[in-house]
Amino acid sequence: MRRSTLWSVVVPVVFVITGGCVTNPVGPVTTVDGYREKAAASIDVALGSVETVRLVGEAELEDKTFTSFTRQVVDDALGPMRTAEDTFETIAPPDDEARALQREVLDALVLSRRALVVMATALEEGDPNAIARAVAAIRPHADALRTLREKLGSRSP
Amino acid sequence: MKKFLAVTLGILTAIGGFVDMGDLVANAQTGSRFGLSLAGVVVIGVLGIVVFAEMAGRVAAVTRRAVFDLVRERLGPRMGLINLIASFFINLLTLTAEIAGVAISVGLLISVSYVLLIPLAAFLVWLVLWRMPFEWMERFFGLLGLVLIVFVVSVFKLGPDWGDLASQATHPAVPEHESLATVAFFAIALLGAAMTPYEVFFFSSGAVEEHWSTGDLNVNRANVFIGFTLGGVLSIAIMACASLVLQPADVQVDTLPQVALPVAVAMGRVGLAVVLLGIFAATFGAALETALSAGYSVAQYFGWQWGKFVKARDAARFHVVMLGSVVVAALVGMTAVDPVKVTEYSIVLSAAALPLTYLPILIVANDPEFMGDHVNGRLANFFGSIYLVLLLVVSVAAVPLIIITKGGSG
Repeated sequence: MRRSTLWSVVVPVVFVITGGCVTNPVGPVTTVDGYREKAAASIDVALGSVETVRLVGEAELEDKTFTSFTRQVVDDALGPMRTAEDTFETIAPPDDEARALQREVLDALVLSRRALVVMATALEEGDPNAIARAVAAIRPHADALRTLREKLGSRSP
Repeated sequence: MKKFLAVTLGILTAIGGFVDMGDLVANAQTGSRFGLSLAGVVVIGVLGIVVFAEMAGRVAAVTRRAVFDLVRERLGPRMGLINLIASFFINLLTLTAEIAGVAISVGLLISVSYVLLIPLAAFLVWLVLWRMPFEWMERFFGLLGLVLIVFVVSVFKLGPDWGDLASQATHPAVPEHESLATVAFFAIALLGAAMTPYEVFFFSSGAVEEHWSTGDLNVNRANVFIGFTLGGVLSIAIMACASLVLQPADVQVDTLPQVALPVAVAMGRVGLAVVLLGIFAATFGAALETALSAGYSVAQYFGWQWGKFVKARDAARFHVVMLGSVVVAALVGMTAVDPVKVTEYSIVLSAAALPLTYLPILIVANDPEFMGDHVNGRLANFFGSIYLVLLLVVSVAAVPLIIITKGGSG
């Protein structure tokens, strides 16, 4: 195979692979089903983050972890949570049904992120009562996200 | 007695050295998403690495030459070069993930961002490669990695419903909310993690470093059959921990600390400290092995002097390749690229390149010119051939599955 022919094959293949690897890409969605898929992916990320923080928070209250570990886990959880919220916000809903869904999902994402920020602040303060309150406050958000996730249905493909 | 101790030590080292960043991430991710549904894939992967590592060790013991050394001679420079390019790129990705893993495990204890610790981790990896004798290096980190048995203890402490775990493992099913393509993607990731190419390069080159001969064939079999198999038990324990703690909470593993979280829940601070030590040992040991494998593969292809059994000045190009690989991996890691994503891609791309690694081993192990009386028997060829067919299918499916599932997130 000539070198130029080789590159003309390799370059598109690399673009297809790297492009295909992008999770939850920003861009237009033309159907409500497509929009629900994006919403479900964002909720999955949020639910994972919220539940991770709940688990590590409960372990912290029971003296089962080091504070340095707990802080790192909470920080790690906040990053994807923000990304999921920001990314979902940028996707334009294709119709009224999707617009209603957008409000519901964004509300859930914003409230969940705030609950994680409260937890991070409680850890900074090192106050066990504040940590206990923050953990207790996370549970309803996890339940709400789970309910929303059920409503949105299964992943594709 | 001395021989028995040496064999035991070799087995323990093989168990402790079996798990690396890829195994930690792939097993925890699949456990948290699919429970033990994919445990059978770990068994298939472990059996595969046992079959081919035994061949690679036998080739090294009989010919006193490492596998890569023979690939070019037996299959020609073009085939050897394709093999080299694929394995070197994947090796570099793996090394990046392992160095990041070392930095993360230390950063979790001292509250410092792992990105800042990557240069230190890379320097320590290079220092150990430069100063520590091969056998010490292999034994020290292999034995330290044994503390990952804490995952097995944690499974017992979590008090699972054993019947349910057994049922999940023996009745694989596509869970609700998941697609068949996603399950297939993670199955391939598990296979890639268990059969990572660097493992056989390191194993066969290590056998040459330790001057194995035909008298060591039983040591080879013991290390591989017992050590790797028990190492596979650690992998399944990681999966089970994630399945018991993270799956019921709908947590998908995206970070290394999440892999350790079930142990903290089960065993508290002592367990957490032990598992972080184990992750440090596993990733540090694997960083050494991948850096060495980078040096081995390049030096063996070009016919340069290689190995830690010769003076550094006599194998200067081998050491330069290792140092260069460590530097590049550290630089990539310092861009703050997600180490878990790097690990995912390294193991799935490993799976895509597996036939390139294992076909030459099967060919060389069947060549009487090299192997004399120690050519593959019927059983080794039976399993080797079946695995090659499986690996070809996996190789063809890997890249399309990355695209279809958007890297497993679909």
